[in-house]
Amino acid sequence: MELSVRDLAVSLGNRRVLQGVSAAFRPGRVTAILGPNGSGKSTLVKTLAGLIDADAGHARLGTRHIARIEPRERARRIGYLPQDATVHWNLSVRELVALGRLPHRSPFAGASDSDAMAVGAALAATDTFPLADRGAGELSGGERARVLLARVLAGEPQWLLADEPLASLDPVHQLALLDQLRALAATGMGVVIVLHDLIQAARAADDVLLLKAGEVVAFGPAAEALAHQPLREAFGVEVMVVPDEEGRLLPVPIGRTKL
Amino acid sequence: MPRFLLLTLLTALIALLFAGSLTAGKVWVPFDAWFSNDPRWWIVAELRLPRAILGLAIGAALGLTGAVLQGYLRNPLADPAVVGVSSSAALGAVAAIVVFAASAPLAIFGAAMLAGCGSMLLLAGLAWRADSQVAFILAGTVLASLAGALTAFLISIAPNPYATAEIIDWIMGSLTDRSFSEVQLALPFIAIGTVLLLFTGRALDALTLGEDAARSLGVRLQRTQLLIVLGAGLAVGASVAVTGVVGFVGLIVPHLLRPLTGAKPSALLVPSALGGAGLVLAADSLVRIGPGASEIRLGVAMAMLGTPFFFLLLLKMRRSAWN
Repeated sequence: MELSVRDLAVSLGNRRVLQGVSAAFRPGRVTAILGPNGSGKSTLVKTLAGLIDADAGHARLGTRHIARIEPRERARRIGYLPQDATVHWNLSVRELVALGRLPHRSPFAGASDSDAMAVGAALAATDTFPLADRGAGELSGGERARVLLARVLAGEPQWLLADEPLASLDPVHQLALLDQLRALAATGMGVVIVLHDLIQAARAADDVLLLKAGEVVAFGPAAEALAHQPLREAFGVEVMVVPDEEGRLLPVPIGRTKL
Repeated sequence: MPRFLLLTLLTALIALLFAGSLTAGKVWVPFDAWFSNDPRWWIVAELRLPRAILGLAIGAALGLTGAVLQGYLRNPLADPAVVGVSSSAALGAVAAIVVFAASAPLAIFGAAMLAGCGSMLLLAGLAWRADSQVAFILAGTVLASLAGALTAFLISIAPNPYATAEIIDWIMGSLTDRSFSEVQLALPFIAIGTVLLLFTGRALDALTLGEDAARSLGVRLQRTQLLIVLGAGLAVGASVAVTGVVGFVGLIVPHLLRPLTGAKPSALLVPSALGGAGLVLAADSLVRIGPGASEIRLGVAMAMLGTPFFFLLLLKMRRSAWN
């Protein structure tokens, strides 16, 4: 089911953060949202997750307005991984991942067999089974990122929205997480991620949405959206395009665009 | 510790402490006088029994509210005093004593309930649009300060020394001389408040991941806030309305039990209610068997017990890597 926004306008307080944004995200693909700081990337993802209401336009899952889907049903369909990786109490990893099952459980019901299986599958998929009995406070940054991803996967959503999942990860863990997201998209899940790194976006994303000051600069296949002109317009940077070993074109920033 | 075992142990402990509360006092009532026409049985049935029931109920209310507020605010230092409900209820009672020269339990109770619940609704209104724990805690702190200042003002204009003495006696918090009429007044409100608070467990668990993640898990934060505000208003308001301010129960009990239940907020709720009931029953029995003709006030005893605990907690937090 397609996730889409049309003519979306969103304000935070009195500030208009998104203006006239239209895009359709397709399942089974990784879409990266890029743009300078303050361009509205996180706001767009939160709107897609149903956490922020639009001033104008709309965000839809299939034909349904996301804002009008009952919160628990929405939570079962759209998984959201926030940028903030804080875990406020020292839960065990297994308890933490099981939180992803909350939208599937009726009030006061304990965990069912299907809950336990989904938690087990999420731990296995993120290679965090060996951590299951550890406290969340004892994890390294990379481990915590995988565990929090497992939390979202335990909910078995159709869509995964991740806000800067690579922040605070070292290069090895960044690559591992991106591989993971690609593998999820290969299973048919729709994946939308906010990224900062042009090269990682070029490596991992099928589609790229470039934002600047709340408006869309480019939206399309990664190779087209990450070309010289759109990047110049969105970021004000010049790039050198270098092919990697698999023939993908990676944009390497080499300097600021001279006005 | 397995949950079933913990709950069984806590329940057994409460049964023991309840029985202890019926036997504790300046006068020893032999067991062969119980359930008889012996006038000493009156001491147990009319003085100690309502006191034990109230101790159980307000302890449960305070322990549970503390656990809920710590989970909701994701702050191990939160307790009912933080959101201003105790001090607002106290203000209501003091206003009844000073302004209306009330001494009937019903008038004081009504005024305290009204002020406690009113302050919680005001808090909900102040924090409603902001939809965040920071707004909630700030609004609560402001309400607590305001209630404290107004209470001090009312004491300063008290019409006579008797009113002042009554206010001070009341503020210190005590279960002395409480009767079944207070039990009948407070118990329904405490029960309703407790049930409302028990509905928050799932939302509190989700909030472990922060507000955005909790909402993305389908939690309606405004509904959670409303449950907490109403639940705390009713349960703590009614508790303060019959006993005065008894602090620290809501702070200490969740901390004592967290190592046994694990850190998941929902797992802490029922044990905290049981633990709070046990703590208040124990403390109220202890203040009765202390030396001298009069009793140390329960609120004072709790504060004396709670303050060193609070400092230990801070020291431990400084050392803990989790902080």
